[in-house]
Amino acid sequence: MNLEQLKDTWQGQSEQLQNGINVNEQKLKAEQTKDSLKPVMNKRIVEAIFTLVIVILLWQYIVANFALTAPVVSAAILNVFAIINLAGNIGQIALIKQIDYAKPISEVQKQIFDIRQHNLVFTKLVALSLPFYGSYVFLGFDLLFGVDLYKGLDVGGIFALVLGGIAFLPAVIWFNRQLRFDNISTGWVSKMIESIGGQELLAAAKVMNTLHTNEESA
Amino acid sequence: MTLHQSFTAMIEHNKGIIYKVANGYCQHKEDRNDLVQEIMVQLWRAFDKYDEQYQLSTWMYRISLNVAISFYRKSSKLKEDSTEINDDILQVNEDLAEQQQDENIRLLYEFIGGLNPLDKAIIILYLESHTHQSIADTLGISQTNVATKIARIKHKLNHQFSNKESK
Repeated sequence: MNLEQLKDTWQGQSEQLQNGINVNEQKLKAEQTKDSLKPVMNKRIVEAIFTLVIVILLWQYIVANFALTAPVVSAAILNVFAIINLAGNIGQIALIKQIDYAKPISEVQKQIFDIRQHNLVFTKLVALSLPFYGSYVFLGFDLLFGVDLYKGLDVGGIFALVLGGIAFLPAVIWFNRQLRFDNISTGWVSKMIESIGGQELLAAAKVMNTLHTNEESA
Repeated sequence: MTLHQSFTAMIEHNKGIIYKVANGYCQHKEDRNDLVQEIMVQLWRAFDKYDEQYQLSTWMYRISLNVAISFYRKSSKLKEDSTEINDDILQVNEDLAEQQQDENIRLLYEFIGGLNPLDKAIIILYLESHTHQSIADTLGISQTNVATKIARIKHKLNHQFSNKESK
């Protein structure tokens, strides 16, 4: 039996299917509003509101304490990351609204992958902020204890802090470069992507990989 | 005719497309039912934007395949196939269920089930006699790529079938 012969068998099903399947109209009508993208959209809206609140609070802090001090500079640095995250959330909301399943499969699957990799992008963003870990420390000390930790540091302490941040940089760049869909054949990358974005992200990454391989071999 | 009536008529006329796609992508009944439901939702969402430059069946295949490829359900959510009340959107009668046990049909679905999601889309469209150009448009890849893929799938299929026959 070859594919051409199976084509006839496959097409022979059509009449059987037309006669052998009944459409449950009541169920069809009842289920029409259950869009699986709605919960994702709602989640992104909540995240966007939450991030917006953080951005506003950081701005308030900066304005209220405006001076060239370590906590204020830290708040400004963290605000940049918060704004990037907010932009990402807004982008996700727009992307979900744009999904049109009638478009070519490669285009739609790329959008689905972008939606599912939201948590992965967020993790990469948090990783990128790690070289600036001092910002979390300075701002945290000021907010919790009202102490400007930077003023209490001697030259050796400042040097250690800067050196620590610089030491993080290559590790973070390497880590973020590894977490790519076309690198899921690497065991730990696959596990990491799965634990951050779930099995659905891993499944979408596999589809992206196949599309990518197709493009390369074309 | 209201929009909903037109939609129901379209589904009634093309229910085989949804059945074939759901069967090609899901092995478990519960998964299939969920996939059928999701396809219906997306077809309904897109229905008033239907572009008549496309053949209706091509448009339905595009949406159904896109939903099927991106459809994902955790296996822990799987339930046993023991639903007593048949409240599926597509209800299969007993005669058809028996006909679907035909060895070749069963083997074909089994073979399709073993392919990756994009190859499943290609082979389903190929079996429906879509042209290489039409398959390339639906997938958003080149015609050459489609031809290469089909040749590979044919080779794989011949190999699997000859293995079955020799057993």
